[in-house]
Amino acid sequence: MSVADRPITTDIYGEEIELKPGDNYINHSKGILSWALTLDHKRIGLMYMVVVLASFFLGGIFAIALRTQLLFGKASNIEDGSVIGSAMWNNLYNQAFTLHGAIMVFMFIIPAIPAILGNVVLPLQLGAKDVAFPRLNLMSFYCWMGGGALLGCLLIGAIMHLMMGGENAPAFLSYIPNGLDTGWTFYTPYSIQTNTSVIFATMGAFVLGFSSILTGLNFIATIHMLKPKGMGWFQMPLFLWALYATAVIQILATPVLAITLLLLAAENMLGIGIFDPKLGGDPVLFQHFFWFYSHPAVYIMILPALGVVSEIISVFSRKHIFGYKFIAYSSLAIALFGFIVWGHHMFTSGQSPMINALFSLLTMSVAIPSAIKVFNWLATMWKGRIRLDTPMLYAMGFIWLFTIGGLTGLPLAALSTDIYMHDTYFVVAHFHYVMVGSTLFAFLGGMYYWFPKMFGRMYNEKTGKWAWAVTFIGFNVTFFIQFIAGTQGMPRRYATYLDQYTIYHHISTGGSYILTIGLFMVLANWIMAKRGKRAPANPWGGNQLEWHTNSPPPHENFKYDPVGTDPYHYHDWKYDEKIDGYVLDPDHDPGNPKHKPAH
Amino acid sequence: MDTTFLNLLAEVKPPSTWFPTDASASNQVDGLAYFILIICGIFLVFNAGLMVFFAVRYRQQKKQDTATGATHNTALEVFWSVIPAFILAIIFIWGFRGFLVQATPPDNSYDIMVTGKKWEWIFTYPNGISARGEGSDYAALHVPADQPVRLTLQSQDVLHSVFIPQLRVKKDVVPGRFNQMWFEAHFDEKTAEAVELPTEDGGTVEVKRNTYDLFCTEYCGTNHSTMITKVYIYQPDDYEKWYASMALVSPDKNMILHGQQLYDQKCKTCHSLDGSGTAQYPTWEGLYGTTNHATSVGPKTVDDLYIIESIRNPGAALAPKPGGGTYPGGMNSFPELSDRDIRSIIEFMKTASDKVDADEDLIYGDLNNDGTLKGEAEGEEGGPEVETEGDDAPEGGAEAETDAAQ
Repeated sequence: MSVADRPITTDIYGEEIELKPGDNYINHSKGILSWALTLDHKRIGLMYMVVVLASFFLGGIFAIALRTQLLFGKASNIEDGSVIGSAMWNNLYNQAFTLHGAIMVFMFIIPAIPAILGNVVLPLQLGAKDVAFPRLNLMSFYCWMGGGALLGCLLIGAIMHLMMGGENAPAFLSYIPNGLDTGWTFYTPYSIQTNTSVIFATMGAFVLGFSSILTGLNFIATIHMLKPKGMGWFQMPLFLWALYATAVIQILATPVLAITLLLLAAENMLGIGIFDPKLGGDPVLFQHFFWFYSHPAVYIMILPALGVVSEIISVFSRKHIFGYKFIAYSSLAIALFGFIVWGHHMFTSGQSPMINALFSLLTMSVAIPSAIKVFNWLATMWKGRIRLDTPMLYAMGFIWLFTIGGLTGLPLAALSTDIYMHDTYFVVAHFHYVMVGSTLFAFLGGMYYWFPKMFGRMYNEKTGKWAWAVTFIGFNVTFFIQFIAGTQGMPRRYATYLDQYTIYHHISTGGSYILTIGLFMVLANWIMAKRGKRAPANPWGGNQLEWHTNSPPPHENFKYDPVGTDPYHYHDWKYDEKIDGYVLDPDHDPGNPKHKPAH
Repeated sequence: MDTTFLNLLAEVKPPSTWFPTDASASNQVDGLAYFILIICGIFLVFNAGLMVFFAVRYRQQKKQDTATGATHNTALEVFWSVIPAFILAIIFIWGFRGFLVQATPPDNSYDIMVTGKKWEWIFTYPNGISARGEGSDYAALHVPADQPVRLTLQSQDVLHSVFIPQLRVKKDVVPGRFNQMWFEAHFDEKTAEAVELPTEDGGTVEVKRNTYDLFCTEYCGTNHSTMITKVYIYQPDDYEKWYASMALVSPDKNMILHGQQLYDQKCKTCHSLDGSGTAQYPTWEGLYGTTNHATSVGPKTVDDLYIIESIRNPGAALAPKPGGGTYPGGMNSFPELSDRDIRSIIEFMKTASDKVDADEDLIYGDLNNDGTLKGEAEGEEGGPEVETEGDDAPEGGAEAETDAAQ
């Protein structure tokens, strides 16, 4: 038996403990039902991980499909009778970008950090046994599964229509959902006129929305009610502040999406004339309703990422986070401002110039709390003792991507320049830098960071760094060139393009292949970690409470009730070479009943 | 050797600008965009540079190392909040001022109507003709240089958006309303191409023009990505020649005529053009451009949006009869009329009104050059004047249309 497989690990004091069946949450009980009906937040988090990563894979397939179409889609390749540029080609592309967007937004980015990392880490960071409402937590998971199933049916239906459609289509096919080609934004009146399954898709997003609302509700209740002794609001780790701000948006904004989607379904089925201009409705009204949710939703996507990065930067700089209160308040400020900027999606729609001016000004204001965060991270790194492990590389990659994504928001917030950039590839590149680049990198960084805690194994550091390099390069090659394509005038959502844009599309597609390789390297690294070295309780030396228990934690999280301390005070943790992790002097652990300090 | 090398370098043309050719005399984009680009560059280099520098300079030597240092500094926080706020304020004001220019078509604009439909563009010129003649490029957008051009946008089906990169303009085409955009183009002699156009006497004439692309930038379904046409820019003299030849090759697409036909079919039984019959129904004489005292919603100008609303939803803004009372009965709506049909009726209606020039549109949301709303200003000025002028005049489109269907 090799050393790695010895069933021995260490606790937070560095004392060896023998692993026995049932002493951690993963092997606590056996059988499918013990997972499917579990109320354990960590297990629910892992179940989310499986399905959300599967959605990421699906959404990624569509991304690669559409980038590959664009590899061939230049105008001079279009000839009479050629597949390229035919109605089928265009419809395929339109479905691909719609499903790519819908799956990535509703099923991957929104749940990624809160539902996976939040579920696993939030109660641990509070020193709690579970979230406030464990059954609600399980229910939110099954809401997600329900919504996911609806969108999954949509997807299977689209494939069936593709394979069996046409003149000899069997009769039952008309009862099968027919994909979606409206874009994830469902803009009216196109979404009223298309023959794809808008109602089906909106129901899917509707149900997924409830998963989001329930998770947010649970997190707010948990943070309010279950803070441990010694932890006030300003002793909370910043990840919790970020999740709290996120949860506020989830609760307040998501119902608006639900109502909007119901109205859209009613418009489709009953012709009530709210959005349909033929019946006196206003299609721009739909955009207002939609973005009243969907703009705050981009902060649902980015805020938890900002929290993850705050944790990683401090722990790996081995230095107390700089400007704690400013980072915490800036999360709330972003959540608040996020609600009052939605109108910048309608700058070219013909809404009143005064409204445009107001939304432009408000949109600018979001830049300030974002900048505050970045500067505070840099100040944290200043004079730190920086460890460049994989999570830190992702956090630094995040700062690069988030800085670019944030700064390129400026010409989109300023009115005159947005008129030019609106709905071009510049916008595509901008929101991919913010939503995908930043959130994805924070998510991957967070997964690496908490991987030892979640699974009790270490991933391969070397592979982790290589995979980081490949994803980082791949991402930037894919999307940076799109800024230039956009300023050169390339409109978005085009299945084919004029020849002058060929070079940009070719580079971008090449980059997307590199990115794909990098992501598979990440996945392989995680899977291979099944045989990795057993993780110590605290491999990184963080002082947040999740590091005050074994890896992986027992079913009830802690053997004793931990006491909150300053989460960014690392001096009491000493590096132990033998276990390649950090151990706590028992006398410095106020929560340990056996090791009360003498004085 | 050196000179050869330098010559070679001179021939390599790096992209001289971040943007495509600037053919616009009304460009409000590039200056601010470059300003922001420089700001972005400075901040990116600063942030990323510091980050990499710290990661190298403060790299951990031994794994037990931890750092002590300041954990907060309020003065510093305020400093790095105020600096961005200051820069943002500059960007906002610059962008807003540019936008006001972009959103305010000059009064002397040359008017072209744009109709978007799946998946083509139709352009209608001041003579009421939608150029659709033989040879595909008649259907493209043809504009004169050195003169403001105002496009009035309408959609027959879903959302579209007009985007001309070289002219730095974009506006959504929204069904159920008329949006506007404007630009003034430069003529570039160097890149101009010569084409021959037919003339009235059977010969041809050569004109020169610049060619740019016009894209649809709002997703509109299957062939969204080929909803592209050309923009041709002529010197004013050459434009006159094109204009004459366009009228030759596409003689029967006159919008005003179309409006008159619709009037004869649907409106004529109730609405006169000469001020008669006002006891029962409002007349169209002098109607367009007057202020209508709609009872429920306050004074309204009889403008494009008012008319489309009155036809789509006749009960929305009702007008009283001159001298008090209301007209008998309401008008049915006309769902069979497309936006383009209504546009044609409006064009015809204008010919019965002396309140506006034939090529002038009144659209809610228009800005005057001083930044006030055109609709408001004309509402205030036009209202009293109209009341004193004649009893029939203030009666509005809503009631006018309301009665037509009875």
